[in-house]
Amino acid sequence: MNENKIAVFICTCNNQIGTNIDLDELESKLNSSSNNITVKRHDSLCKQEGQKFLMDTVKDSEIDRVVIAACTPRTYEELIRKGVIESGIGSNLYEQIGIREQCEWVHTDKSKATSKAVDLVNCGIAKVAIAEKLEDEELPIKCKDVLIIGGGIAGMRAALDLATRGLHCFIVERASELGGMANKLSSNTLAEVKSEIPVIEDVMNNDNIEVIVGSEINDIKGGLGNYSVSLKPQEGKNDERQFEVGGIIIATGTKLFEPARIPEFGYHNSDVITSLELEEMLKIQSITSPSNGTVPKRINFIQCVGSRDDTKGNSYCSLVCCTYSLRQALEIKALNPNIQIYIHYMDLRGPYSGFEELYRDAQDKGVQLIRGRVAEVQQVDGKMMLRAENIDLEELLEWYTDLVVLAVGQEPSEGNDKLSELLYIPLDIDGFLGEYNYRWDIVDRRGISIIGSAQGPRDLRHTLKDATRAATELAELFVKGSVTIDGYSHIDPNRCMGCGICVALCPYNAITLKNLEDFETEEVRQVSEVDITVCQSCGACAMSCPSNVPVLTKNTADQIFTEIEALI
Amino acid sequence: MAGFEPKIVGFLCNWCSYTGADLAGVSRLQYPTNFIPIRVMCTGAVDPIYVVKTLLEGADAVLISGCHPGDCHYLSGNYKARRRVAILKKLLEAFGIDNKRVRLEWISASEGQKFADTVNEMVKEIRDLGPNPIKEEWGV
Repeated sequence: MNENKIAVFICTCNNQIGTNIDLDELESKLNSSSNNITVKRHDSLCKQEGQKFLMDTVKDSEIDRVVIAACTPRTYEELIRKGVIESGIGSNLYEQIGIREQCEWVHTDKSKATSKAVDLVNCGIAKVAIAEKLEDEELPIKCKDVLIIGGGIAGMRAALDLATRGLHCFIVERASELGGMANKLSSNTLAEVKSEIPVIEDVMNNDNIEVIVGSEINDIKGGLGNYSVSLKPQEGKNDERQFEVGGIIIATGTKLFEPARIPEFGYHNSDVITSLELEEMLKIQSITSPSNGTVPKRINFIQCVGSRDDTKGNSYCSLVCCTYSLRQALEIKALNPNIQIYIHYMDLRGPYSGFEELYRDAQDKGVQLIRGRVAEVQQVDGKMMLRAENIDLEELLEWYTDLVVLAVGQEPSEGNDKLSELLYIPLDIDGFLGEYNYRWDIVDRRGISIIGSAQGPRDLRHTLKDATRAATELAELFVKGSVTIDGYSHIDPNRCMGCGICVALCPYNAITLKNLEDFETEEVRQVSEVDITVCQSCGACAMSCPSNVPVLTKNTADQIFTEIEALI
Repeated sequence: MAGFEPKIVGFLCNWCSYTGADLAGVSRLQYPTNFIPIRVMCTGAVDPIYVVKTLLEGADAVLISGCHPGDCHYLSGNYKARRRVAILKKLLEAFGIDNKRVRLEWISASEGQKFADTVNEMVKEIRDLGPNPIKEEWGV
């Protein structure tokens, strides 16, 4: 029989737990169920004093298994886990039970809720009681170089931040030069984040950064600390570059919505321009109508071009357009206050700070904000005519304009789908690369980080913050030099028959067939081997194996069976 | 069958449905205590044996819930689960177990309401259906 000493920590979450669950009864029931169980209560295990309490208890009572009954493991497990791991309890020897979200908050019948809480905690106790300590979870990281895909401001910022920490990185950029979309932005737009904007020369001259422009990713294989990357040959060259890296930062950004897809807005007219083309005018401080080179008298902005429009564009909001249109309008007004500016909008949305001030400023300076959709932009008698509606005044508008600015939305960068396939990153509903554990780490367990607008439209400030955060986290991981793998699939080579079913089924290609020599017969046979840096612990192999060989270290079949038995 | 309170065990995937259940909690949506969750990494990691074991142990119904098709955290686990559950239901029916006792539901992390509704509905349905016949036959 198992003689492990198990400690159950009940966290009251500062009295958030205890109204619908009778904690005294829970404690006494757990205490009376076995001699091996110690029950402790604390107000907040996620705080420093809670962590200390946890570690002291584990040390003083020589505990070797821990069950935590607190909030859901999906929010504070990472925090609470730190103390558990630091006390030397293995990552699979503890379990957190979310009695707050799954019991306290959803039931009002006190006696029933208490008995359910007892069941839930018992289930966790049963699970950890039969878990066996894993031999070696610390994996050394072999290669500490970093691949950065995309050389826009996000990629360059990350590269500089990594380089100053002494890590070598490769920037792979599809275009012929670094800088990306930010190259086209005016200095006023960049002013807000000026000190953080990376300088291209700094990147080019940094010994720790190797810049490869005009090339794309061909293939990436491997896992954390162990990726082999191959690039498509650069234009005009034949050599296929190959190198090894330990981590990957994806900073592929977005592309602009192609405005010709909405023919009514007349993008074929030379006097209809996109907001990025206007930025280029602002950069040289000269606003002119491209058709005749004169200063326009009336400028109309059309918002949400290709955004929030299921029929002709994309259903999502591109987040940054309202803010930059207001800023552009103000900049034009500053250059020439006589230019009349009209902004046609559906809703003005400003998710980032500073928007409200821009909005008021624009109104003060006489920028006209008109709520309603624009029907069309047409050439009439050699002039440009704009037809629109004003919802607030309930009237139709029809007036001449000298310049039309289309506030185009943003779309997933080309090649997103390929990266998604290569690196097993799911695309979100809008086709951007899905965000990871946004609440915690920006770098996932495979050493991959998605930063900037590759995850969806994002402003400059947050893009740069992402980059710095990813660089810091990767550097922290690499400087430490090893990583604790939290849950993976283990295949016992002595029991594996080498049928290869799991090899074909693994969604991450983490399993390969390897030759194994039998010690006694000296026969060589094939067995499956899991690369635990690639394995994500999904369980596809464990479910498909005819001999039940693969075992998920944190969810073995035996553990689930004992959980079921404990529940019923 | 007055006073019969079913026991329902749920295998919830860590990424979508368990988080959805958390959202039901955060939103203070109420559902009966008859439902007890077991957290698994993926619906694709729910061996049909787990379901059979749960029913043999005397649970009245089993809910398997994961990410919507196309949204699986592990890319394709939920498709595997869908096929397995389809076959399992047929098999269980052949053994005289009503296929209402095994339910597969897609609940995303943002669908707290759907989670609470599913549990409420299931408890009501199983209450009407009566206890798991295996309980009497096997004496569990």
